[in-house]
Amino acid sequence: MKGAKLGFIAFFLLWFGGGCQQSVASQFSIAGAAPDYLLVVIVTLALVVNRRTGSIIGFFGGVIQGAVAGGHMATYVITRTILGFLIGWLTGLEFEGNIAVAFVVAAGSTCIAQLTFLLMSPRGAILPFLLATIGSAMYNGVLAMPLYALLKRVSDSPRR
Amino acid sequence: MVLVGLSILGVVLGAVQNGSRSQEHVDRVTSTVRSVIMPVGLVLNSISRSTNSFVTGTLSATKLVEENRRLKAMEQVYATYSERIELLKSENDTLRTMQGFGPVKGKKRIPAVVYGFSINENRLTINVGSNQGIKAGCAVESAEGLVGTVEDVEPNRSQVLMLTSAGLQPNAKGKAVLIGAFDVNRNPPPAGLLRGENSSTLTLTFMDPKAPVQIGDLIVTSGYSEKIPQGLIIGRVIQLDPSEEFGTLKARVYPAFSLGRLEVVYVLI
Repeated sequence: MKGAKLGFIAFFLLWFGGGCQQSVASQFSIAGAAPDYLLVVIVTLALVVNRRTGSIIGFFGGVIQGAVAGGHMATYVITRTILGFLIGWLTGLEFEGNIAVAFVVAAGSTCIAQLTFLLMSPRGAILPFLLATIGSAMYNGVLAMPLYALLKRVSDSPRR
Repeated sequence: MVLVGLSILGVVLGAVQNGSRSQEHVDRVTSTVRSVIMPVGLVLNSISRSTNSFVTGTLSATKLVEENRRLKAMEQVYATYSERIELLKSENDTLRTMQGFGPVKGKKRIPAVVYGFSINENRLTINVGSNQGIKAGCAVESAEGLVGTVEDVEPNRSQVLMLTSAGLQPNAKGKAVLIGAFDVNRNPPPAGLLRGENSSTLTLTFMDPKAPVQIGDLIVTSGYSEKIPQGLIIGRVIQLDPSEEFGTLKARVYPAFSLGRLEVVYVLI
């Protein structure tokens, strides 16, 4: 996916994802596992673009997340930019992307992002945090599947 | 190259954000992003709450009809005892006042709608700001008890750092807020210092390992802080951990407020 279409879709999804993240993420939490809408958007968008565009999407996703969450802007920006880059790079490799890949990548990205967050902001109760991270990873993986399928449908050139 | 450049830009943005926060301001990038996100956030929050109410109402419709019938029958009974009901109402009001939700001396309550939650950061976003007289450090309470303190303020919105935040620890990065607290079930009430433990509990440290605190005791603010008045409910003691070695008694406190029920809060200015 390229050009103005990608720009429009990315802007809309990041904007909407930011709104969801700010307002409804906590209301949809199950046993401490809350969805990370912005991370799902970054992951699925990065799966249909190259690594350069993936980094830029990750960067803006990190800025939005840092701003709405109200803390650790640098942590969010760096982790999301690197994730966008790595997923974009993965897309450049010779493998066929599908919704199962979207699930695995979203779940894995959630674990990486949350563990980085844990390293940057150490906390006392690690076990509940890790359990919630696993729950969130599954949650995000499930959310990434339909979004990825939708993006693939509207995508002009899904593979680079 | 792009990755490195964006990462460096991220560090710069983080530094600018922290710099502004230390001066109790919000940087332009954060403020702009929040302004762009706010409309969709408010709409989604409203839709989500309405849908939740609708679904809850629909699912419990049969139960509500039955309850309505029962209440009508009870109303007839209550009519007979109206005098008694008035007396109980009066007692109820008195109890509310005694529990700390009465007027707070020297403070005014500004109602605010919570439209943003950040679980990882233990922060809330509310729809009042400096235009309504809100200042950083003001106490924020719900009908259940103290929720936290205002951390940063913009003209029409503010972010609240919740009591349960580890950021309330004295040695944590960023702004430290220490809250003095009393155990009101004892006379004289032992006082301690409160800090966030994890996302669901708090730790109240008493400097006397033999402080007469018991599980189930009600903890309220001591009023030592200029911006947090005395008598606001914090929560109840759920665990005690005396340490003769360090000469302290640590009480784990379960906060009175419930995150899931935070729709409207009050900022004390």
